[in-house]
Amino acid sequence: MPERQAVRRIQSSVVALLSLFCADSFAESYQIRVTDMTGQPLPDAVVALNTSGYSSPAKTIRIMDQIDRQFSPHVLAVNAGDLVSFPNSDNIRHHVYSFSEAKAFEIKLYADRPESPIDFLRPGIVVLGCNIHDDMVGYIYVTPEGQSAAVTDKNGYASVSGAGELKSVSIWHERLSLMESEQTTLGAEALENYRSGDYSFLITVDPEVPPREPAGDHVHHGFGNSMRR
Amino acid sequence: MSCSRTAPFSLRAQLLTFTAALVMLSSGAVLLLVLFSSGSAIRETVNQEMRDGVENFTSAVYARRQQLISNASLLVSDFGFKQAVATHDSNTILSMLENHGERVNADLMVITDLDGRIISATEPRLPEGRQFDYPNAIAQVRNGEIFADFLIVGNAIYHMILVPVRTPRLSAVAGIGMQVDSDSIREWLSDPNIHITFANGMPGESSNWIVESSLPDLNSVVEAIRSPNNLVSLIRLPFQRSQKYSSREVDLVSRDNSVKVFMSEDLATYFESYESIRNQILATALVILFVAVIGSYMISRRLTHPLIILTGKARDIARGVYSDMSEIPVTSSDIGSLTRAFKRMKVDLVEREERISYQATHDSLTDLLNRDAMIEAVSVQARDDNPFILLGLNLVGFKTINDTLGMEIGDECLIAVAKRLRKLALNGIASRHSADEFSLILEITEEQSTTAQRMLLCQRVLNELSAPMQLDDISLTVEYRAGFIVYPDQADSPGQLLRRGKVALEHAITTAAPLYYFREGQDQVHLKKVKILKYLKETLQNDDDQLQMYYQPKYNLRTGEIEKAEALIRWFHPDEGFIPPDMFIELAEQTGMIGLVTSWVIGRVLDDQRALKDAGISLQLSINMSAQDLSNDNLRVLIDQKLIENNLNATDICLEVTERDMMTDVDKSLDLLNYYRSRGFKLSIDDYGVGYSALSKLAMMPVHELKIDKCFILRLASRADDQIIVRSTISMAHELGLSVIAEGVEDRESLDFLSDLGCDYIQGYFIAKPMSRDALSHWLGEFNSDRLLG
Repeated sequence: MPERQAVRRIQSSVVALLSLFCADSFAESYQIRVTDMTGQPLPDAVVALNTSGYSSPAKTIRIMDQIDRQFSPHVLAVNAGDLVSFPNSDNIRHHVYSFSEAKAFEIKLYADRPESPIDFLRPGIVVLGCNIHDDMVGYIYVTPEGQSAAVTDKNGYASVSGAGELKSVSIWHERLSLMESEQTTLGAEALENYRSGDYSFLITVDPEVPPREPAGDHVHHGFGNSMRR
Repeated sequence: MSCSRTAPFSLRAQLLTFTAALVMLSSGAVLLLVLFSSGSAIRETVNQEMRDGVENFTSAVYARRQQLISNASLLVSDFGFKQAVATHDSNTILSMLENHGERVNADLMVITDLDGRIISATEPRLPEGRQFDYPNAIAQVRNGEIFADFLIVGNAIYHMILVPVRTPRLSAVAGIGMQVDSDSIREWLSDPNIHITFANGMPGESSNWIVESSLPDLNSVVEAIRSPNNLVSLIRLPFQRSQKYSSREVDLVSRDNSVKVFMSEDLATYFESYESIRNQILATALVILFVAVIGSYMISRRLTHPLIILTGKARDIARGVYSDMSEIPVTSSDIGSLTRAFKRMKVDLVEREERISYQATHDSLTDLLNRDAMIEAVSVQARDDNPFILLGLNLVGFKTINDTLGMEIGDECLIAVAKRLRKLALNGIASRHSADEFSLILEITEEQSTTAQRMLLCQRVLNELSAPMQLDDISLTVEYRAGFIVYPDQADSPGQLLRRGKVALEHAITTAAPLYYFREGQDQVHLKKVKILKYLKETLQNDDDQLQMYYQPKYNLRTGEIEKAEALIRWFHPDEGFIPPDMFIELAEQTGMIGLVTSWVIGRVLDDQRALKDAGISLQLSINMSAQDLSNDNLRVLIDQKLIENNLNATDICLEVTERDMMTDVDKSLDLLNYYRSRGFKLSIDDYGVGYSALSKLAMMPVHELKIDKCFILRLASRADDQIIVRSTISMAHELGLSVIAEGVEDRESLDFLSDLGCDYIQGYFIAKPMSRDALSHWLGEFNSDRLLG
């Protein structure tokens, strides 16, 4: 599947370019790297910057695709008011839903039968699931007004543009807490501790939830060793 | 053969004991073997069955668990349920739990948040907001895992499944539980002997003991889970309960769980099968024991029955009864050889007994009968009522044959004689009684009715016996003395016949007659002599006053004084009356008893001499001594002793020795008389005139006195011959320097005559009869020589 991943990366790059075009020409680009306490990079972390020189971006349509029974991207950061389209690249049905307060919805997806995009007006975390495939979990981060956000890549890097004074940085990650909407916000002073350059920060967070094992559900029986032959 | 102190048990008892012990021992060994092998086999089986039981049980539980997990998963994947949970719609959640629970027959449905607070539950005891207090289980689910185990909820044990509720993120914990009860446990079990018990520990460990079991009742549960994990022992003491269960804890629940699971196996079937085998072995052993006892009894009977018969036969043989042995059953080869040995022993015993009895009845040298056998043979012969002769024989000079020709020739001679005797004897009845004495019986024909004819018969026999016999290269002629007696004419019984035959033979020997015919009465004399000898021996031993010393005074014709007296022995027997000295003295001399008599006489006379001296009477006492007495050293010593004892002189005693005794062995007499004379004794020749002794010899004798025999004196007054002899004797004695005494003076004429001839002393009834010592003392006191002179 490297080809599919490559396609996905190209799409992401296109989106990033578009957003750069739309942003204030005076805006600065911040490089923020997020790691856990052991220094391992945390991909799929949302880094949201609160800067003084905010200009409201134009509404766009974002894509949350279903590929290989996974949401792709796994985490999508959108601005409040953006539309998100849910295509289905798999040849099976999906039943995407969310019970999140920011946006509760359900949408039955059939292969090659795209539905109309869904708008996300309220800022917050929207957890996406598929009623058919319990393993499918995805997140849409609806960025509040006045903030700009980006998702870290596989090396934990996120590049976020912001104009004016940097007031605070919020970090969200699915493993940060059992409470899905909880995020860490660092104020200007606290940020100084993580500064690694003029516009770059290395932020470490302590995820509460251990990483999910890719094997899916497993039963822990009460049986002793005698059962484990 | 060793002989133990106590008699050993009989063979039968030993055999029975051995067999019984053997059977019991082997049965015991088999039982032990079965016990141990059964024990280990059962233990192995129990182990295997317990392992299988655990496996089957866990498989069953696992299968059930998978079902429960499926049910739970089904619930939590329900979109409506997720929506209800996500939107915290409690009523909807509860209704869905109830609905789902009913659908899958769950006993408990619960849903909690991620911290374990109960959101909703079908169990009233689990209200909303209460903590579902199984933090490990919750934590496990929060880690995204499914929890499946047995839990105690309330007072019941549940098979509990907790699964995460994802909406789609993990947002709650859903639980589904099946209550564990005895029925559900039984469903999981396939082996009726295997039981499972769920409990929150051992009984008594907690105040609230919660238990569920496939076992029928609580007592069984308690007993079962306390049982050891395998069979301990198959043996149980009487009144002791056998081990009912083996039990072990099953590793079926998580380590920190308060629920414990025990697997128990009912051992009753093992005990039943073991005890059935055991009983079969015991029954078989009893049968074998019975058969063995009967068998060994029969074998031992076969063995001992002939032995018992043989024992009886041995007793018979001991009694001398040689009964038939053919009826002894031969039940084995050993008994056969024993019986043969017995028969052989019997034969040998009979032979030996015959030999011994032959030896007991026969003379070993000549094979003739001995005396007892002769009596027996004569008795048998006497039954025929035919008269026969018993002929007694004595070989003359057999001692000389032995001495000159040797014992071997002597023996050959006896054998040759015996051969002749057997040939001549009636029915071969002949006997040997001593070295050279034989007897045989001879047939008398009717013609031989007179004594003369019978003597002729005996003489013919003697002639044949006397024929010369050839021994090696010696021709020997033997001469016989023979006495015979006729049966039944002269004897009533065989014993008497032999006795009288002996008397006749002795007579022939003493009279040197070649053939003597027994005369009636001869044996009475012989018997009386024997009797008298017996009495004499008794009275000498007892010294019972039957024997007494009498004294006859001797009168000195020259002085008219009584100077001497002759000591004469007198025997007054209480039954026989007076026994004359001639009779018993002669017998005593013949039998060698004279020494005893004389020593008694010496003792008494010397005591009396002392008594007389003490009474103031001085007499020279004379004692009659035989030739045997003279040469008897004991008497010499005795006289000396008595002289000293009584303080007497030898001159007080005169020893009278008959002319015949003195002249038998002149040289010896001379020595002895010289000895006594040298000792100082007075010596006198007694009974002079009847011994026909040579005067020359007489002249040599160192004697002081000569006593003329009374046969010359008794009728001296009337017989001229006697007068001549007495005159010449006195004259001769005086010439030789001897004094002369005449005995048997019974009248005055004799006294006067003797006085005229110059005789020195006289002795006789005319002076005095012999008298006791006391009478003598008295007589002496009254004696007056004037009577004799007057």
